[in-house]
Amino acid sequence: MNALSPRSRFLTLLQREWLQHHRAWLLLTAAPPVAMLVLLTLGRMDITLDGGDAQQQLQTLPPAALAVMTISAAAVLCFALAWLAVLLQAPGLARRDTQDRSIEFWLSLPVGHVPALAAPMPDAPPVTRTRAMSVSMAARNQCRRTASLEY
Amino acid sequence: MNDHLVEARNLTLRYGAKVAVDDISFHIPKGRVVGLLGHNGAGKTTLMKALVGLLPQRGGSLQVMGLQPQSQRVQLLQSVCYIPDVAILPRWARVGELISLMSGLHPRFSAERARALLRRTSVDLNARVKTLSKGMVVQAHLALVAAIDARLMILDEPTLGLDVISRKAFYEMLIDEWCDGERSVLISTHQVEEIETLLSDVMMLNEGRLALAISLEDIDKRFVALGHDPAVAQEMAAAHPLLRYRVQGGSAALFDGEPPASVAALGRRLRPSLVDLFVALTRAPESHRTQF
Repeated sequence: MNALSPRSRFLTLLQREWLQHHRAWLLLTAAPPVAMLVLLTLGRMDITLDGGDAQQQLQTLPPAALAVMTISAAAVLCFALAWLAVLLQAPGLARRDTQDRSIEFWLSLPVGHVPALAAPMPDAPPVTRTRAMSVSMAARNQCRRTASLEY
Repeated sequence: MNDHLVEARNLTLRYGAKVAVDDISFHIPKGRVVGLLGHNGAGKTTLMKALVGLLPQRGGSLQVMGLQPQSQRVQLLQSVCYIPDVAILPRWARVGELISLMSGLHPRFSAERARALLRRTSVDLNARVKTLSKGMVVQAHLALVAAIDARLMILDEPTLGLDVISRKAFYEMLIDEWCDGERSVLISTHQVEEIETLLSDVMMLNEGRLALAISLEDIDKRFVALGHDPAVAQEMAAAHPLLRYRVQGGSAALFDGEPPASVAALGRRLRPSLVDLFVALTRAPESHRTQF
């Protein structure tokens, strides 16, 4: 009989999550850089300035303000993608593994309900949303701090 | 020492509001292959789920391997394998990945044995479950489960919807690779004729009640079928057999115990089949036969 510690069983449950959802996870991870890349190459920003020499006014725009704008936009993008993922994922969560009846296979294995429910949590909508919010808020705070140091 | 793997006393189970299993008592010793027969809705699946701790009992007592199935489910499932139904392996997984996952989740699972068993089938380790046929999924599932060093296997209609070749392959693997005289199997199926030769015991459920729990040896001792000519059908009917049915070249009457002397000489003894016995004991729900 192999001795399996609770930790190794939990890691196996996490491995199951990875095997089942790795495509979606990779897609979600790759989405922000890809979106930024697309925006960088195809996007265009029109700035209207009141009077004077537009070129000169643009050059005097503080770098910190530009950074705040850029990082805020990136944070909002991440947040929006996280919400989109949540919206796509949440409706099917209650029926997870039920549609193909594989829930009965997992229930036939000697795994407690607590670790079985805990393992999918890193991917669960409330956690994903909270994670995205934390990242966004951290980014915004960093921007504010940078901007205040600049001025 | 009690060597019963399963011991149920006055067990009552509910499925929602309905009483699915009503006050039944039975035991399964080690080394037996027990067939669980019953019509749809007779309570077979409910009973099996309760045996692996997936349903609470509403009355009586139930012990599997000396453990309480619901409160000690994790510990129990280390020694009990359960195949609930066909094609329930996760469709997204590769067979090799399932071996890896089971190695990390089941302390009595042998990955080497699983691979060895799978090599005897046409299932490829790299194949995703969703690309396999129904028969291959069941073979893969049985190979995974047979690689668990358990003492009791519970199979709930495992060959439902499979063609005859796949069913034969399944039962061959079950008998050759798992049954060793110490381990027991509880199997429910509607294909009674196919597994009759594999069974050592049979339990028949009729609307939640145990109509019969007996070894196949005792069936031959206890039940008698008399084949007879249609000309003596009236006399046979007057002896109140359990069932009268057609056989090749005439009719037959099935009796619980020795038939009355008045009719015994009118027919020739036949071996009652499990199907005929099942029909006799469960065909008339209004009669509500209970434990014999």
